[in-house]
Amino acid sequence: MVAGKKILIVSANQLACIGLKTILQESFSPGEIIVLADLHGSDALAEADIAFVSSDTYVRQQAKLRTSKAHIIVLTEDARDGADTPAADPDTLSMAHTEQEIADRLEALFRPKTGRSPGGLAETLTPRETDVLRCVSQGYLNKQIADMLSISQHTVISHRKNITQKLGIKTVSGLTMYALLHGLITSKEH
Amino acid sequence: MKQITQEHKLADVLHGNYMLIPVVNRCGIRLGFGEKTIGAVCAERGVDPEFLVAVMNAFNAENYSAAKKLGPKHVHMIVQYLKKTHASYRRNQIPAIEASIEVLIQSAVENNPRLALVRKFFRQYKKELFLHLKREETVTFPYIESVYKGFMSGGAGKTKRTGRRKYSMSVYEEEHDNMDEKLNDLKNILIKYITGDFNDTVCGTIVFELFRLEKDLQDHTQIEDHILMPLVKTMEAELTARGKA
Repeated sequence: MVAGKKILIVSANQLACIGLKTILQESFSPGEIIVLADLHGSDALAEADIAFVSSDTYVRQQAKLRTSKAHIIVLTEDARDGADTPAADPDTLSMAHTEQEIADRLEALFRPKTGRSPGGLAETLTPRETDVLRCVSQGYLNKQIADMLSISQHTVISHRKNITQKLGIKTVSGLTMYALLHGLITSKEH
Repeated sequence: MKQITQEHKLADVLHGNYMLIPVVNRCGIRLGFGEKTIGAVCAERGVDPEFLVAVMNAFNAENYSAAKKLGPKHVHMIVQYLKKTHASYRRNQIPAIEASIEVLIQSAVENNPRLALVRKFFRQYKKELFLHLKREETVTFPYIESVYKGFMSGGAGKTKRTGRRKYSMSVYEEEHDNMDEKLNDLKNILIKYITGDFNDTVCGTIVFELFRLEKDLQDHTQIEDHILMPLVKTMEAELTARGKA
């Protein structure tokens, strides 16, 4: 995911920049890494795929950073990584951690985003298919599902066909197990 | 793979496809037969060579038209073969997979609810499979044996009076469902969605055994649907015709 990508690090703290650069090079084999003390007067941001910026820079250059296509990660001194920050807030990386902790956090940050749904479900099933799957695994029949979701039985059948095709799971027991594994239903519900 | 004939050495055939070892076992042939041909081994063990060759070819080719040569006289043998297959599911294959699932759960570093789901799914599957096998053993096979006896004795069969009519091959055809679909789902789930810290070798073995059981079950269903069922239907028709004559 990071291999070969252009990374920009912007911070007045040169020691932190060098440290981060070393960790990135050792664990993630990125492409070019550019280190800047200040973003002002440089167009390096336009080229970057990932940009680590100090919180100062983030506050001062927010407008510029917001329009950038780069994945922005704000460097903080706060020991609490922004795991529970709202989605609108940028990703953060705390510099107050051990080398290993920073590497782990980086790996988590670089992992492809799969949205809020567990197991990347949103990428495979549409929300409607997920609704149908939930009903099927709770033991409802096509007719009941059609009534519950206010759609025709024909549509239910077509959703079921798509679900089976996407997941490669044919039986109700198999679908139920899938739903349980992905947290669509709880074991009490089925 | 080329057609197996009675003149082939049995050892060579098994070297060619080791999945046939259980097939040979179920026909009552044990390993350790030296250099003998299929014909010679069958003569020694009292197995109909035509039957064994047909079943092995069908298994290899995944094409059961190869078994068209089998006639009513083979019905008893087919049923015996299917019963042995049932016994091997019950005594060996299913318990082995169950045991492996337990080992897998034990191997997990911390309590893994996903693995508990696998166990639950397989237990449920086992229950259904055993019910299916029992139904065949207590209803289908005795029915087939009685049709077979009536047919071979040359009688008209007492189909109407004994109430045998209540059950027939068409009933069997209707209720005969595929037992391999659920297995396929479990395999798929294990391959795609079971994550956590556990012994990968054990998990791999389970998937491997599920593949093997699935192939075996498909084969079993093929024998029932494409060999046994048409044969018994022919005999049913013949018995009815005799009754009318």
